[in-house]
Amino acid sequence: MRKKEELKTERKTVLMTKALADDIEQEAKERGIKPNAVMNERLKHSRTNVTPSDMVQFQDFVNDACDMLKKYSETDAEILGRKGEDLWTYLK
Amino acid sequence: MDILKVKRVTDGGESYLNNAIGYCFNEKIEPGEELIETIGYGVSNQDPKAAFNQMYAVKEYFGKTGDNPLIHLILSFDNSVRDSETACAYTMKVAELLRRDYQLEVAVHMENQGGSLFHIHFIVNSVNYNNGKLFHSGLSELRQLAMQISKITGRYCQLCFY
Repeated sequence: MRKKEELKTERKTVLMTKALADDIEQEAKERGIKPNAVMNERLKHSRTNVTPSDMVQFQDFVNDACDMLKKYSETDAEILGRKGEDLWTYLK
Repeated sequence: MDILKVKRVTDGGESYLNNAIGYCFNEKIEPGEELIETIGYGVSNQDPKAAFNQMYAVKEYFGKTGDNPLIHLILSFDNSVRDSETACAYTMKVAELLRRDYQLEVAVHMENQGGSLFHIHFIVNSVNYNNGKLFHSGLSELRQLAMQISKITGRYCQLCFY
């Protein structure tokens, strides 16, 4: 069940340009979600451009790099893996 | 015939997710059972704590930390799969179906279960990392997944819930 603090209960009227409204609707269409979800995401994460999709790609890269490195040094692979994991703090 | 089991647990929250990911890394499982490989897709494949945090970070990003935390799928191969290389090769192909939208922690286990030598645990983050939508684990979606698995293995894949 959705947590109470994560429920979207507040309704606000926001004026925006036609271009921005079109952009939001286009993104919603491409991602298969509602424009409301796109607007919420842009507002909530306005201070960063890093998305979960970026971090997942990055983590897959780290995993591949660690697997390759492990053949030569398990210790170095562990260190690299930990450094990669630390970068998840950029997803806010 | 392969069997795709869907384990439905809707309560337990964060601790259930934590335990399920930890299980994928557990080397001492049951007597007669052996961990062959743990593979992370979009999550760490070295550290269960980091993998949990990475799945949780995606839930937090989309504001969906309170919903059903994970989907647990178990795929048991029939006894025609006799070696770990074949089991891992099938596992990676099946994981490709899910990893496009979801983070996964996968464990390949070897255990003789009435003829089946290998089974795979897929711990799937319920939140889609591309759009924040929740995983639809309805009968039609899971039947479709079983059909896609059949195409990969060339054998019938039976779906069951428990």
